[in-house]
Amino acid sequence: MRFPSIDLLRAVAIALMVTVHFVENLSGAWGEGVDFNRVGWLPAGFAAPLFTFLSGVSYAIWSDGLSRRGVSDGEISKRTVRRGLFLFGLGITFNVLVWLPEETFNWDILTFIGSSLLVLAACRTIPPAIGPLLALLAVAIAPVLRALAGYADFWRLGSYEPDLTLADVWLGFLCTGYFPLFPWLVFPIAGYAVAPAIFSTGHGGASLWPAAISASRRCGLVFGMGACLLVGGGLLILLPLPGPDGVVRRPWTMFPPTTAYVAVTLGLALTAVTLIHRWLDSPGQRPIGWPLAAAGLLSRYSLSIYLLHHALHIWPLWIAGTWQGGEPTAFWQRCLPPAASLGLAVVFVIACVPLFAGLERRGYRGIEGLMRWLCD
Amino acid sequence: MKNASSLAKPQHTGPAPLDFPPEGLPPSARLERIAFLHTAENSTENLPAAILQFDDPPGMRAVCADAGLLPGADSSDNGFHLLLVPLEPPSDQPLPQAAIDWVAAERQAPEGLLMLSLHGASLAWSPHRTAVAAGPERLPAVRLAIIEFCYREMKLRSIERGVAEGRGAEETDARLVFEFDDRALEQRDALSRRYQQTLAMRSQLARLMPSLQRPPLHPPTLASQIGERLRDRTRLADRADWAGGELEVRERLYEACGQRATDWTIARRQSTVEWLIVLLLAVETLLLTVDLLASVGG
Repeated sequence: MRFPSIDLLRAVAIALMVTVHFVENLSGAWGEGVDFNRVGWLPAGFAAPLFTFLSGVSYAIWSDGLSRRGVSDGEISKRTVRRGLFLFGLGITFNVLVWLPEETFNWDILTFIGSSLLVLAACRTIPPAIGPLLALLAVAIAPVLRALAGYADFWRLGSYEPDLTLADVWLGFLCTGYFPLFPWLVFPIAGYAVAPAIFSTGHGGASLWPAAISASRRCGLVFGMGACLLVGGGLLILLPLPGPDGVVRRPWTMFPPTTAYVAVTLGLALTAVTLIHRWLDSPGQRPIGWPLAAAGLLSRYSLSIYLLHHALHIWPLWIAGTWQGGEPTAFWQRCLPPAASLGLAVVFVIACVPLFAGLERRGYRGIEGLMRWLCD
Repeated sequence: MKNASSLAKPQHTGPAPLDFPPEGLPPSARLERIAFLHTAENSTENLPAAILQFDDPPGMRAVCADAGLLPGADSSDNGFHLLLVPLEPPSDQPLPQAAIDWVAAERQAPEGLLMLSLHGASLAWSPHRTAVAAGPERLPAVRLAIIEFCYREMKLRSIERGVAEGRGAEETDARLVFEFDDRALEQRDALSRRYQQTLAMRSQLARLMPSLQRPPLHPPTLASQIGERLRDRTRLADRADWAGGELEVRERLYEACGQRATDWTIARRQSTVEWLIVLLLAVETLLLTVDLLASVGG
């Protein structure tokens, strides 16, 4: 079953992701004295948490739907593992093809979502209370893991640059990469845990949300949790604590994902999904015509769009760099002024709607269809 | 020959939202709405005088009801309509056809119409309508026998209905005896409710059995014979046995389900604690691993 609220939020996430990537990769180091990988006005850092959170929500709804159709638990687990491995493999392939072989193990979002699906497959079978506890622990131990691993040593000028050794590859996967398991696991697990409360799915989270609590109260609880996280994260940002060396740490960063960052983005995801669910998914609501149809299309093809937009804006950079001076990354982050990159991103997102609508009419199911064909 | 105008409207105690009066009854015919009410559920000031009192459950009484005064008295689930036709001598006349038709008009008579004639009394019975014709001196005793029979029959019918309603759920729930999981846990309250309902029905049936299986009264009276004959003809004892057999199976099923649900809940709780320990050990292992990898990498 598709929920307009999830489609809308996923469309927003993918549109934000496209925008941030276009501007950062084409203009991140444009001009003098810039902070590498950062353009001040860019809404960076919101899309990935929302996207990964929604992957957990969607997984809960998908597995519940299969369960209701009589598919056995074992079969659901098998499909989950196949999908997880597919995404993981796709992520590695994507890194090699788009970010070139030296970036094979940079642990981007696709490898993370693939890995998180394997964790969610386990979450389906373990007691419901353990999943949220795992999410909590993932956030709690992430700073410790980063400190043990020496996080800063792996990052240079805003980019993750590990050595190609087994130890560094594992550390990147666990805590130092772009999207390591810790603390990013919190988002899909949180999505999986709250989905039964918001969307009244009846998967194994039943005992986490007792049936005695009404659907609206469950939604209210989730919203309350999100609001608390927002307030808590906001306080952490407003009241930064001095580090051991006396320097006040920046409490809001995506790389590394600080506790304040995780709290605020998770709080935003929880509040947004509950509010928009109440607004859009109620049976009596009037459908909001074409904007929602466009959002549904972007949502259905989000994985294809994710791959396509990288190919479209990264490959020309590599080709131009190689053509001009032999160094593929010569134009990376220095290609265009940010406003032009933003314009390109907007054009790309808008163009995706008729493009994928046309492809859908012709029966093209995108990379998502390939995944379903291979894994289901 | 009597014409229609010569037939007086029968005396009518209480409202009867039925096709009444049927044409062709003698003027002394009387329709009563008999309701079975519990004193605990009705204020005693409003209750009319009891025609009969029952000890199952204590406080239950049969009254001649006026639905306007007694809330719920008009429900077909807690009473019936009784048409009394006093016969002029000679009192061995049959029940007037109009009365038989009136009883037969009831659509809720699963067993159909039951006709009985005994020592000058004749009656037609269906679950919610009964008509009886007898001499005026015998009518009060026959009336009491019919009311008592109808009360027992209604109680048994209510149990049978409960048994029939639970059959669908029983078949679905049978698998939970061996397969209990998270989804089944949501049904725990429903399972518990069905078990309680089953126990309640068994208890009602157990209290009902003595009155259904009691030996014939000696020396026999017309009223006692009518009661016994009605019990035989409606097979009350057999029906009670069948319902009892089904309830016994159901009780065992829901006992097993309850046991399985409790076992599963306890196992789940233990499993949660075990997983908690596993999680803490995994965190410790993870910290050691990262420390080791960092030192190797460094």
